[in-house]
Amino acid sequence: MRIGLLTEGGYPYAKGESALWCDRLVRGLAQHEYDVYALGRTPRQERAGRLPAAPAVRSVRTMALWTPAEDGPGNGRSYGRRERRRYVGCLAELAAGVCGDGPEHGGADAGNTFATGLYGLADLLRAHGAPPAALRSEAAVRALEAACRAPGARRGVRQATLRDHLAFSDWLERALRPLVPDWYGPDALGAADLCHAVSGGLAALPGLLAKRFFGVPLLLTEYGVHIRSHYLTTAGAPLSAPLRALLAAFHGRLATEVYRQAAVITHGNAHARRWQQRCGADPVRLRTIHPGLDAHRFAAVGEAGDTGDPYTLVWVGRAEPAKDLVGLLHAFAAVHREEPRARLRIVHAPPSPREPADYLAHCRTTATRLFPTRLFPTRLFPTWPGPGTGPMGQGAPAFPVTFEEVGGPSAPDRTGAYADGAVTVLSSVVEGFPAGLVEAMLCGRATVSTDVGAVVEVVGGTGLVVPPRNPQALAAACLALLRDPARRARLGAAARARALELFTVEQNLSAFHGLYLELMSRAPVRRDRDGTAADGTPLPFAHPAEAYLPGRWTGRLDRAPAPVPAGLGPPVGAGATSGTRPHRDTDSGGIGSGDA
Amino acid sequence: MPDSGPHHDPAREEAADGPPAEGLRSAAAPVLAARQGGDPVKALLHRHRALCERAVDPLEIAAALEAHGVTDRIAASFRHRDVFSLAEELYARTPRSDDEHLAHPRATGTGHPGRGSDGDPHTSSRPVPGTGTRPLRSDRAREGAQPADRPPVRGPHGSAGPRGAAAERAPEDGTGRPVPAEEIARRAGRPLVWAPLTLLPGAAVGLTLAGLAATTGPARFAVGAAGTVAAAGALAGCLRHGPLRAARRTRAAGPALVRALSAVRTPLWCIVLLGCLLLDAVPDHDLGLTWSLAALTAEPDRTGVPLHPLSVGAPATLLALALAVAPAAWCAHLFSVRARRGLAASRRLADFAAGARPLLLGAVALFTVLLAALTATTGTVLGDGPRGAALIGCLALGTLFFLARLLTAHGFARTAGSALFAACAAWTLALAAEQAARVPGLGRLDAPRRALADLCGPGAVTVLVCGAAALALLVRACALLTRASTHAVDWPAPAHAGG
Repeated sequence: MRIGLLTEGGYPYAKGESALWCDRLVRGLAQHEYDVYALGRTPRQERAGRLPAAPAVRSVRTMALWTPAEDGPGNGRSYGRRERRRYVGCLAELAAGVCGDGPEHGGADAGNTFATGLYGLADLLRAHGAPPAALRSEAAVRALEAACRAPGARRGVRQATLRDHLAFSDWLERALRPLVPDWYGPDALGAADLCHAVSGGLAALPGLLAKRFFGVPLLLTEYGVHIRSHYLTTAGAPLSAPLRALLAAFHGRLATEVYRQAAVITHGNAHARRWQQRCGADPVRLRTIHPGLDAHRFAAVGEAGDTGDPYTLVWVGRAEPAKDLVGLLHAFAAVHREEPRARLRIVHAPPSPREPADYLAHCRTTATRLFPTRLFPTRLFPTWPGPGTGPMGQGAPAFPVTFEEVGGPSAPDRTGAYADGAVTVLSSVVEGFPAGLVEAMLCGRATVSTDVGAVVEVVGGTGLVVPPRNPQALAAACLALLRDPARRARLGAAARARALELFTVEQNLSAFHGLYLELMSRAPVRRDRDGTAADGTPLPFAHPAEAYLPGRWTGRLDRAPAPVPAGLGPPVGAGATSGTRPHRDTDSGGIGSGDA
Repeated sequence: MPDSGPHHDPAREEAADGPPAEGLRSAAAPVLAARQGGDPVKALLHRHRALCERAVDPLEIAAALEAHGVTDRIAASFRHRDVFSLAEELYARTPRSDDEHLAHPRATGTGHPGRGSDGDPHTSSRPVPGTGTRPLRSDRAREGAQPADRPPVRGPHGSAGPRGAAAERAPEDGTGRPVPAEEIARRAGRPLVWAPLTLLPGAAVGLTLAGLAATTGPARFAVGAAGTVAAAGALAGCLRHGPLRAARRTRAAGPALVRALSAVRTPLWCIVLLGCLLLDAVPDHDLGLTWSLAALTAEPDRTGVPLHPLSVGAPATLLALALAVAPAAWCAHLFSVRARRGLAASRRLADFAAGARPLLLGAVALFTVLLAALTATTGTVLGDGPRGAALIGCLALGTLFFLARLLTAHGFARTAGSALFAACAAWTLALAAEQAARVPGLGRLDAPRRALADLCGPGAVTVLVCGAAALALLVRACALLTRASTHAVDWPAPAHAGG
C-alpha cells in the first residue's frame, strides 16, 4: 500500500512531536510504502536536521510554514478578474465560517460555511496557483473585518481591531499554504491509497484535500488532541483576546471538519477520546490504540523473578510540581512511622532549563524537615551529604529518603531503579499517559498510583489506585503492599502480563496495520488508468497475475538500511519554502549495500 | 524518555506555561467548596477568575482546568457531569464586557482582559477601605505569581504605572504586544546606518561637478565617468538600505535573461527620463548623445562661445536631484513609521485609509517642497539654476521618482515600473516626432510639440510627461498605500499559535 504520511512539525525532522513514534511506525510497517508530506513549523527544527531515512519511505516532501509570505515565480499571472472575485468570495466564506457562532448558539451552518470556503479555495488554488501577495493579504483583511462585524459573529471576535485582522490574516496565509503545493498531483497524494495524518490541525489539511480531490481515505492519529494543546500553548502567549478567539475558532472549525472527514480517528487514551468526541468526532469512528513501549529493555528484569528490596519504594520521573513529590514525602513519612525499615528512592531526570531544579531543592528541604536525624545533624556535620547523594547503605547513615539522578552513579538507568524497589509509586496530580507506570508494570513491579489522567486505564486491576492529593490514602496503600509480599508478587505478575498485552510497540504497530487493511477493504476500488482502454473497457493482461498476490512482488530485497549517523541525515533543504524535495531512499540503500 | 512513544503529557505542557503550584493548591478546594453548599462553583470561579476572564472559549477553560488537575471526578463534586460542562458554567458566569479597552488590555495598561483601568477600585492605585474587597485582593495577589492566569503587568496595587503609560503611547502589533521603536524601524533599517548613506549621492555629484569645472580634456572625461559611477553606486546603496529598500515580495520570475532584463528595466527608464529633463530645455536639439559627449570634452574658453549643450541649469538640477535622496529617504521613513502607528491606533480599514491618505499627500508635498528648496539652493550656489518650465519639470520628475520608489518599497514595483515606462514612452514619442519632422513632408508630426513649446516655453514636454505620470502614480498610491495590509509588519511566525 502507498501511504501518505502527513505530519506537522514532527517527522521527518529529528526534533518535534511524535517524531520517534513515526520513525518506529515507518520502520515497523515496512511492508507498506510511505510518502512523507511534512509541514515545517520552525527554522530551528529545520536546522536540527532529519532522522535517517527509513527504507519504507519513498519520498519526503516538505513545506515551511514559517518563512515570510512572498510571491512565487509566475504567481498571480493567471488571476484574472473572475478568479479574483472567486478568491475573494471563498475567503469571505471561510472568514464567515471562522467568525460565525457555533451551532450551540443558533449558527448551525458556520461549520459548513467554513468547509465550503476552504474547499472553494482549494479548488481555486489547485487550478490557478497562489494569488498575488497583495490580493492575498488585502482580501483576507477585508473578509475578516466584514465577518467579524456581521450579525451573528461569535462573542470574542467582535472587538477585533485592524491589527488583529492583520495578524490573523498573516497567520491564515501560512495556515493555508498546504493548499498550494503540487502535492495534489496524480503522482503524489493522488497515487496514495491512504492518508495517515499523525496529528490533527494543519497536518490533516492535505488529507482533507486528498479525500476531496481523489477520494483517498483519511486516517487521523491524535496522541495529543491538537485543539487542546493549542489552547494550552496560546494561554500564556502574549496575544490579544480577539486574536486568540480567531485562532481558537479556526482550529475548532478545522478540527470539526477533519473529524467529519476522517474515516477512522485514533487516540491514545480515554481522555483524548473525550476531547475528540467533544469536538464533534463520531464515536463510531473512534479507536483507542495505546502507545507502545519497547518491552525488550524490561524483559530481563520482568522475567527474573526477583522482587527487589522488600522495603524500598521507588518513584521515577521528572521532578515537577505536577508530580506532587511533596505529597509523596508526606505520605512516606506516615509509612516510615509505621514501618521504620521502609526506604524511598526518588530517581529523577536531570534538571533541564525547562524544568529548573528549584522544585527539587524544595523537595529536599521538605525531606530534611520530615526526617530529622538525631545522629548526624547537619549543623554539626556540614560535610554530611544529607538526603539525596549516594545510594543508601554505602557508608552514609541510613537516611530513609534518597534523591538520585538518572544516569548518576547510583541509578544508571530507570530499569535498574524499578528493579531495586518492591513497589513503584506514582503521586502525580496531573498526568497524561503515564509511561513510567507502564515501565514499572513491564518490570513486573506492583504499583501504587493516584487516579489522574490515564492511570486507571493503564493499571486496570493490577495495581492500587488512590485519589490524588491524599497522602494518607497513598501511605495506606503503600503500607498494605509493603506488608504483603505475596500480593505484591501477584500484582506485579499481573501488571507485567497486562502491559505486555496492551502497551508494547508490537501491539501498537499491529493495530495500525490492521487499521490500514480495514480502511483499504472499505475503500472503493479505483480502476487504474493503464488497466482500461480509452473507451473504458478493461484491458486484458494489463496487470500481471503477480500483482494480485499479497505481499511484495517487485523484488525488493530485505536488506538492512544503511547505517546513517544521527547528525548526518539528509540535509535540510535550504530552499524548502515551497519546494518539494523528493528523496528516494533506494539510492542511499544502494550505496549502503554496495559497500557491504 | 526516548522510547516512551508519543505520550501527551499535560503536565509537561503546563510546565511551559509556568509553575502550576497555585492551580494545584486551588483545585484541592472543591471538596471543601462542595461541603459549604449553596454555590460551590463560585469559589472555583473566584480562584480561576483571571483564567476565566482571559478564556475565549469554554474549551479553553476546560483545557486549563485539566492542566491544573481538575478531573471529571472533581467536576462531579461541583454537580457537573464532566470538566467540559463545568467549564461551560464558568465561562457563562464570568462577566464580560464588549468594551474596546478590554479587548486589548495592554494597550490601556491594565494587563488584565477582564478589567478596565478606570472605574474599578482594584486597578486604581488608591487603597480600598472596604473590607469586602480584601480577600479578593489578597487572592489575586497570590495568583499574581502565576503567569498562565494573569499577565504580570500590573504593580502590587494594580496601578497602570509608567509602564502602562508607555504601552499606551507605543503602538501595538497585531499580537497585542507594544511594538518597540526599534521593531518598527527594523524593516526600514536603522537611521544610523542609512541616514549617512543617503548623503552620498549628493556628495558624489557635487564633487563630480566641481571636478568637471576644474579639469579639461581627457581628464575631464575621466572625472565625469568616475563621478557617474560613484553616484550610481551611492544611489544603489541608498536603495538597498533604509526606507527606500524594495519589499521582498517583488521578485521577478522567469529565465535568467528575462530576470536580468527586468532588473535593469526600471533604472533604464529612470536614466532616460533624467536625460529627457536635462536635454529637453535646449532649443532645437539634435539626438542627445553627441551633445553629451561634447559637453564633457568641450572647452568653452578656447572657442569663446559657451558650447553648453545641456539645458540651462542642468548641473544645478542634477545636484538637487542627487541631494534629494536624503529627504526622500526621510519622507519615506516618516510615512511608513507614521502609517504603522496609525495601524495600531485605528480600528477599521476605512479609518486607517482615511488617516493614511493625508499622511501620504503630506509626505509627497513635503518632499516636493524640500526638492524645490534644494533646487533653489543649488541654483544659487552654482549661479545657474533652472527656471520656469525647467524648474517645474525638475520638481515633477523628482516627485515621480519619489512616488515610484515609495511604491516599490511597499511591494508595488510593477505599478511603479509601468508609470515610469509610460512616461518614458511618451517622451520618446515626442522626441521621435521631433526627429521625424525634419524629413520633408512630415513636418506636421511635430506640430503638437511645437505648439506646446511655443505656449509654455522649452521643456514643456518634460513637464507634461513627468507631471502626468507623477499625478497618475499619486492617484494609484493613494489607493495602494492606504491599504492596511501594505503596512503590516512581517512578524516571525508565532509557532505557539499552531502555525
